[in-house]
Amino acid sequence: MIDYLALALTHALIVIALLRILTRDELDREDPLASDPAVTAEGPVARAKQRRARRRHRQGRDEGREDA
Amino acid sequence: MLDAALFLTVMGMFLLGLRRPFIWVLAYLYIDILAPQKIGWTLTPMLPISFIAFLLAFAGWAVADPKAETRFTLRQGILAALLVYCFLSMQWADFPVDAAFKWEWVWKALVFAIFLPVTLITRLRIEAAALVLTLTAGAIIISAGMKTALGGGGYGSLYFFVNDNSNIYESSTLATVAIALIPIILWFMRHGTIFPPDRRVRTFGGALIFACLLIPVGTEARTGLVCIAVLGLLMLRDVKNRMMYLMAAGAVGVMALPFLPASYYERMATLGSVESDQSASTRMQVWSWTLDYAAENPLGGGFDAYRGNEFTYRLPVTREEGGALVTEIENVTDSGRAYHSSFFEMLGEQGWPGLIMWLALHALGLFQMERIRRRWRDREAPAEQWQGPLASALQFANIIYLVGASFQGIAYQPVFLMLIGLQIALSTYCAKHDSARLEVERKALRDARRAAASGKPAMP
Repeated sequence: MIDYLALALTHALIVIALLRILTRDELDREDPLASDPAVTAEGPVARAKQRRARRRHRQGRDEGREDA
Repeated sequence: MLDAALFLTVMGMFLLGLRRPFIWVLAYLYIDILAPQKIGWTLTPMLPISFIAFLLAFAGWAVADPKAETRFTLRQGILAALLVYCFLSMQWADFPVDAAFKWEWVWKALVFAIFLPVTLITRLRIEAAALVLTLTAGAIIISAGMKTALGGGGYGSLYFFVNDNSNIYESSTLATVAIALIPIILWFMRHGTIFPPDRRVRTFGGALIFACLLIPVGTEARTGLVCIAVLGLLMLRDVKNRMMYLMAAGAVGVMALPFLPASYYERMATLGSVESDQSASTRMQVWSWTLDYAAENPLGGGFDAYRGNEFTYRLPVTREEGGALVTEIENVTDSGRAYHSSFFEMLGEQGWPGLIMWLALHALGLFQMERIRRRWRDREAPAEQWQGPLASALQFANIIYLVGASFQGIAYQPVFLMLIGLQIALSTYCAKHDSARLEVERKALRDARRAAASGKPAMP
């Protein structure tokens, strides 16, 4: 009786855990920084800034080449 | 009914794995710890489920997991070297048949410990593996704990689901596993995400810890009592209010005393008297025999080399004669006595090279967990709160294991090798997280510098 109870309880929990895991995307893939809200919060802004800076840099270089 | 339920659970896990192959890794953890094929009688023993899960876990990883970031760590290297050395030592084993028998399960446990960290690439996976390990061992612990609470138990007389002393179904091993799991259960009660900490989780966790503490009582395993004492001391490091903790621990200890069975007191009383206890004096004899053996065979005698030992010693033997107890000193001969210590098990079976590898494996683990604990202690981001405490819990579990292992031959015990796998996974995860963070910071700095440089021309 005790054996059945212990097995039933733990197996129910294992099954619930597996079903919960099954639906979560971060099981298989996780961006090392995405889970860090502090970094993600400023991530897009920082990335956009970087992109803008890079574009400006490239434009500057191209203009320089045209001048030559 | 039970057989069918266990069979369905296993088959269900295999089916769920078709959608998420990582579940096959969890299925192997579950099968290897609980051994449902030994609990069931018709359906579960029908298929080699343990072997199927072993193959599926590898296949799932090979087919579905990203391998670009797979890292092979030093500790996995040590495990691999130990695996190779065990195979080599089997070639010169004193007892080749017994050695081959032990090799059959040791290689699987070692290979899985090397493989496990490779699959645990996300936080959720690390947590899921720890959860399945805890709940599966929990099934055995809850059942044994309840039997103890209801008045059953006794050394060698507490009945588990399986009673062949295999794996963790051996009383001292179960006691060590139960105590080693306590810090991990405490971690789940604070940092779990599969079952987010609420009142139900805390109640279940508390009850499970209570069941864990009952195992050394129910099995009357003296090792378990030593493990509880060590855990009590270790927890002093992390508790916030040490004075309160000491008082609460003392009060709980004193309150528990009247509930302990008399046979428990009798057995624990033998902890201090080595001379009159055959189990303890055999231990001393085996250990000194192993030292001599290793001096002659520094490369070890292969698995089960202890079978060659034999010693006679004088021991007080008490028996009843005509209603009176008579104690006489008699010669007692023992042969083929097991090592009763993992340190000596490694030394006798794998010689000095094996012992050094095994010690390095654990020493490095303790060191790595300490480093993570310190590095992540002061971080404040919400996503960086679980790593330090998990490192601390795994470190405590490792120390408890080493204490228990001092008195039992459990050097290749699969559950503890799985915990080593978890340690390696956590350490790799933290290293990856840190290097990604560093890379982002470095890149941002580089870009800022570049932007500043392009803003003002170097030459007018």
